[in-house]
Amino acid sequence: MIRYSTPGARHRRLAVAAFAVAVTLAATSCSFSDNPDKESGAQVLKLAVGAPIDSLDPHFINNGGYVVPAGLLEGLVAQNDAGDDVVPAIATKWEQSADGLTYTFTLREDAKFSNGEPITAESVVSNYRRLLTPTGAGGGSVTNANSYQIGLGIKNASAYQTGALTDWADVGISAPDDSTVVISLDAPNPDFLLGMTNNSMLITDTAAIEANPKDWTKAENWVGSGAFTVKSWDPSTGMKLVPNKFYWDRDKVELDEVDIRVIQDPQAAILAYRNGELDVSPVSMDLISKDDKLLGETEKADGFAIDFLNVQYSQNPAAQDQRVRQALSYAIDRDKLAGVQVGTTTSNSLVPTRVEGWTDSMGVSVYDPDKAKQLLVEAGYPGGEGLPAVQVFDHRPRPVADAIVDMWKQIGVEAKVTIVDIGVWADTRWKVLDEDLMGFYINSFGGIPTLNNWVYTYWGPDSTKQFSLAPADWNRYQEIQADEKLDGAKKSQMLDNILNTKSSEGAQEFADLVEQARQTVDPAERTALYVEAATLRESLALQIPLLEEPQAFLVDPTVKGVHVRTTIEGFYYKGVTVG
Amino acid sequence: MQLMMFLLRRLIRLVLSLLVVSALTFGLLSLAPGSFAGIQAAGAGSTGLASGRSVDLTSQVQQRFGEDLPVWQQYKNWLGPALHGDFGYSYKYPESTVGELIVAKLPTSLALALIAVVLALMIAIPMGILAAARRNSPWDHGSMFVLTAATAFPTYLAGILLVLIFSSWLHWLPTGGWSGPRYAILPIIALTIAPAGVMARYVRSSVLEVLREEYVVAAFAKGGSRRIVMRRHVLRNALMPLVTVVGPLLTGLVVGTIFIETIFGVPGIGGLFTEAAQVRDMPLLMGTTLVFALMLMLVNLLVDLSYAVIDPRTRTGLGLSTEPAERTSGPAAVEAMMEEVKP
Repeated sequence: MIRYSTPGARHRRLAVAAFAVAVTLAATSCSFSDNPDKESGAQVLKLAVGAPIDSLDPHFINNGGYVVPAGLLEGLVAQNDAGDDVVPAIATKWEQSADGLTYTFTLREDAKFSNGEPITAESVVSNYRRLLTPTGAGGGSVTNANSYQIGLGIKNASAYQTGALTDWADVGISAPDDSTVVISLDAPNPDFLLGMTNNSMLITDTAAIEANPKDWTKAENWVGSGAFTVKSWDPSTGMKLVPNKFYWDRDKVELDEVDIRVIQDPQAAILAYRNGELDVSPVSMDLISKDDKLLGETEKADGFAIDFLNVQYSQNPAAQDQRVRQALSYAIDRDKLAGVQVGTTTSNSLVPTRVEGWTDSMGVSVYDPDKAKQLLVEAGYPGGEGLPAVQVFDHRPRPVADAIVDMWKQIGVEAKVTIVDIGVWADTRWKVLDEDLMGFYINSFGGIPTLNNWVYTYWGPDSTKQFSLAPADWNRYQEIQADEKLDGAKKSQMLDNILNTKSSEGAQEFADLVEQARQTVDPAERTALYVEAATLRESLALQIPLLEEPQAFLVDPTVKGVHVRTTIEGFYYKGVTVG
Repeated sequence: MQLMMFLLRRLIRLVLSLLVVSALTFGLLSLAPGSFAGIQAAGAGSTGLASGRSVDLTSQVQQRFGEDLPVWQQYKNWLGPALHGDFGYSYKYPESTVGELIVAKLPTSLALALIAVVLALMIAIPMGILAAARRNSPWDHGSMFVLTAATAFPTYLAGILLVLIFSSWLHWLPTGGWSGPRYAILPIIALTIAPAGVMARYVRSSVLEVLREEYVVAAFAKGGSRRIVMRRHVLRNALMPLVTVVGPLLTGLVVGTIFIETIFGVPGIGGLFTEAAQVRDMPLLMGTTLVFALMLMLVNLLVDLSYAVIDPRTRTGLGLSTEPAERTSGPAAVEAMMEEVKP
């Protein structure tokens, strides 16, 4: 029996096809987020971030740092518009003791979390205790945001965090009454107040966290201390923020909504900005270098980050020879590098030039190929003869690395770029290379513009001593670190012993200078000591500075109040207006 | 009953396959250099870590995630809850379970891929048939040129071009984002182009092959009209290879939309999968891999079942029937048709 198609059957098939398309369209519609339509006249700031907002927990290192400090959480103090000083926030005032070691903060009476509960001194202490608890903060998250504690120098904070100390009472954070928080330092720290504005030091509501330990960052459970609160959040697409009605400075919050969109492709972000879909977007200057209109709409803060080369351990003694490392640094023409990576400026020091106290004497990393060749002769490698291959070790292609390799070849050094997967890079950049290879890994760091930050926190005494160790001592150092049988105090003692007895003379001298600077209360004397220390460190060439990168945003002319600073979040949303 | 037995056999095979896939994925990922803790430490604040006690802190993170345990123990710890549907919390997105992330992203990817495949079929089938029916005509050459170019056109390039044309120049559609149906239009078009080209070429060559079959020649010779022969005998048989292609193509689109997701900011599962692999997020990578494996197996099952519907001869091979099937197309059906159209 044969069945023939009839017009009716044809229509049925068409209907089935139409139904299939309709069902899938409906499924797509179901997965859309809220409709963006806003009330007429409402001030909505549409901005982009360049990475998924994977977490909002400030006590761990994550991409939440792009948005959380901008409006969701606030600290005892906040940064001023220029980002070089602090202004009152949850604390109305603070006092520093004569020896510079103790800060007493007075909290404002009307400070409240976004659920209306008061922010008390105990809330603040409890928040810092969570931050510093080893492996703590509820589990299931990533690396503790510990590195900033080292920069702050809160008494015993680092020891408590690593487990060397276990009694919280020993840590220099206390609350003598409901409105007073006292923080003691192990040495005077001129950056302390600015450091308190870092994402990790902002105030969360630990009571709300305890109520929903795994879900406290979800929009429906979020309780914050900042000018805004979370309306919706999808880690990979973005989030919407609305004003926190209990915020102490609510009158200064002009925006009705902040609509944040995750756009990972920088070109796509520029297109969206051009198309009027964004009011503000982070931008890499090299992508807009030939567009005068966009250049005119760029707000930037110079000296945000330093790109640098960091020496790798090698069995070959050349890597340990300061003259070889200096020769490689002198061979780099940084002006040309800045031409390769448009929008950057040359960096002759690991300290950005915008840092107060910066002097020309620190800029020892200059281009001098003749000196480079002479140093190679002095080190016993004339024309690079006898040197192992020198690599630039990276986890992604970048033209700057190729340019450096070309420059090294010009002084006779056999050089190459080695690019590996980021997992391999992370695992092996501190491993000891075989004798036929030496090298540098390339990286970038950014932070607040102070000498203490760029001389003590970044590439500080411990780090400098570590990278000056001979390969055998470095291996021993790592063995002790990995030894689970040692308790925290004993381990710290053994590690310090290696650093203090096996590191290079120059590294130890640098560490002594930094320690002197930290103990000095007089600002001029302290600056002089930091400058001397930085100059010495740069001459060791364990790290070689390359370029300074700005923090830059495209800002629509109708948007006012975007004050770009050298911090990861870029600017505060409070005080921004649209239209 | 035979259908139930068939489905039961396939279900057992599916479960065993998923176990093998999970063990292999876990083992291979463990062999890969780098760990989530190490990559996190390298990517953020590593200067601070270096100046502090980096290995101590990294090992704390490893302990938290169980990365310091032997691989078999890690797998055992993962498998127990996974068998109950609990894939744990993602490392990268610590405030979300793997299940939540997948449930949030999969419908978007699935819907985009389904629509793209349906649209691609709607383009490919008529174009392929027309090209085959008018072989060596200008239509054939022209359409095949366009479709071959479409096949060779990388999806990400299509995405960028579409944005340039429809968003940047014409300002008709948004460049990206995910806030309403208009945001889905460009991603769907970008996803449709290459599959349409691939499938149209399949349809064309398959139709040409069937047109050369003796039963088709016989059907024409015995007076069957072009329309009836094409629809009843050629098309039905020619679609078999297409069915084979569509299943994996659909799965591939769901998984492989990473470029489109990145360009258009689509919250799909492809990006989740890629990111999990990059940062060694073991729970998330295991979850997404198993979802893809499951999808592939289910699609293959559907393809097998559709074979049985389209070509009853395959029912015996699949164990769905012990009797030779009645044919509604092909040589036997031509014989039957000719009997029926006898004057």
